[in-house]
Amino acid sequence: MSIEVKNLSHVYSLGTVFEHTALKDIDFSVGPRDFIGIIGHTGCGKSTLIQHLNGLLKPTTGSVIINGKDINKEMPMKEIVKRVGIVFQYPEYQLFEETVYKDVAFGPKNIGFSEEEIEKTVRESIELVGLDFDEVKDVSPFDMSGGQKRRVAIAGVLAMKPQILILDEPASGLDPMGRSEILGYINKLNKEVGICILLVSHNMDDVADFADKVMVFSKGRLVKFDTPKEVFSDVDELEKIGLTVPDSKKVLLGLKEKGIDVDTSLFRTRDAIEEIIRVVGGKK
Amino acid sequence: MSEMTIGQYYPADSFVHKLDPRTKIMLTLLYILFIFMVKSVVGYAVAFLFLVMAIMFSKIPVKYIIKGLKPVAFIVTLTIVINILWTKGGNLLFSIGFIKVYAEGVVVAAKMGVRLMLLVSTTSIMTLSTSTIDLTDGMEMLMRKVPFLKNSAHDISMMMSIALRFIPTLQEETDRIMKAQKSRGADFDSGNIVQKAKAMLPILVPLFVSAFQRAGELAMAMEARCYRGGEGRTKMKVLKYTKRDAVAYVIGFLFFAVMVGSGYIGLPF
Ligand SMILES: Nc1ncnc2c1ncn2[C@@H]1O[C@H](COP(=O)(O)OP(=O)(O)O)[C@@H](O)[C@H]1O
Ligand SMILES: [Mg+2]
Repeated sequence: MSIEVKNLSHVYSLGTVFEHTALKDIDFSVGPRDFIGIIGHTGCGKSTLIQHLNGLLKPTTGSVIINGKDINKEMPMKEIVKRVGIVFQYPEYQLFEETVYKDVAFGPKNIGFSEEEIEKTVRESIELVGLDFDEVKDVSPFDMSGGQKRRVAIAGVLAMKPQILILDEPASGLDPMGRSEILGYINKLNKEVGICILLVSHNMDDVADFADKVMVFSKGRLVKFDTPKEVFSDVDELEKIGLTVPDSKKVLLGLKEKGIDVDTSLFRTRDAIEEIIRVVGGKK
Repeated sequence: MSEMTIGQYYPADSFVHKLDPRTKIMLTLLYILFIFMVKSVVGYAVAFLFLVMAIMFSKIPVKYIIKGLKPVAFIVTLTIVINILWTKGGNLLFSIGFIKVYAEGVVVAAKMGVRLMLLVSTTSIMTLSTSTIDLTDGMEMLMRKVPFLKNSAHDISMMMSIALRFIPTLQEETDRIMKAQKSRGADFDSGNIVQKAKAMLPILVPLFVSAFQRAGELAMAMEARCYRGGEGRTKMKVLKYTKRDAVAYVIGFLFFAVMVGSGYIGLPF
């Protein structure tokens, strides 16, 4: 399972006064089991890009290729959404059914799962996002808390068993606890279930902590696609395009400035903590 | 969804854009009166000329006006068909079975069609060249002059401005929800009418939920800022007539008077 984007550009409202080029000459490919972080300043085209990956938007020029097939020419929408799942920003707004079970079952039903398959996948997906199936299945999603609604919505996409899961700011608007829980489940999906993840986020720490590779967008262009270590190595360059490095790295850089000898190439929260413990411990 | 022109503002720097909203509303009303009083072909020609002039002075591309006609195309067609079939008089042009088409019918139908299109086009120019705030402001000021609307002028205009303000928001919301459901394999295009109507449920439910939520939040936010209706409320931007408006009024009324005087237009009885 792979996605290849070739020479893709997208222009909104082509040929009107509102014409706006949102993406320009995007080229990349993503392999199975990858965990990719996507970062970029607001309005740089992240959401526009992901909508191309399951055929919601058609490229103005260029193509999107999944498993060797151009999705806009050789794949009906149903076949695409079976493979590529998208969780949009604030996905709780997509909930509409009377019960959690029915809502999560909506997707698999649409793409032709059998009754047994649906039952199985709904149970699995609800449990994958950390909810108790028997407890929530008959509850109305509208009676749940914000964080729970978000999980139900994610489960609704997971239930279609996509091989690639794209999430647009899945943790925005959640409390820190809810944030780290949701991200933990997403990480588990990648490591244990083997789903390829594309995570759009404006939180550098989230991307640094989980992604194997990072795409950096600026003004509709893909300016960098590299390991987080490489991407977060140049603070000035990131700041120029309105981004920054993870907080954990900022702490290390600050310590270094104060003359404490820490390894500033680290960028993950847990690595930074260990490094600080090492240095402090070493001084005793 | 984004095809709708009414309620959409087309930004440009033009004579029409700079007119006071009250002038635009009054002249649009006068124009509508005009086209329903037209008696002869000359009258229609003058009405059309007026439209062309208004478009030119507003710098709005013609295709936006045409786009605005699309949603009413059905009503116009229906009006034309009904008029052709129901009007009897003049020569019998042709008949297919029980359907008889008379010359009079074709003329009446053509008149109705042209009138409706002129009406929608001018209204489009007004809404395209006026921001919604100005538009509702203008309406409020005009309604205050009408005795029986005087007391509710502010409320009506506030309701209108909120409704207009939320059209694009709701369109965006619909678009977003639709995309989310499409990503879950929802199919809005195939099936019979019943299936299609049922397929709308996954869009309508979340749309209504969020619309009610928004309405509640807005009401709360307005109360939190001590909104108490129009009484004692002053305006930050007070509408002011300029020389431009005088020119527009004079041209408008002069034409109207001349047409009435020369008998090209008049009361239809
Ligand atoms: N439906 C649309 N019509 C016109 N312009 C749009 C539309 N959606 C997004 N844009 C514009 O395209 C650019 C990229 O938007 P988006 O992909 O949402 O950015 P991001 O998700 O990175 O914040 C923005 O400048 C935005 O204003
Ligand atoms: Mg976005």
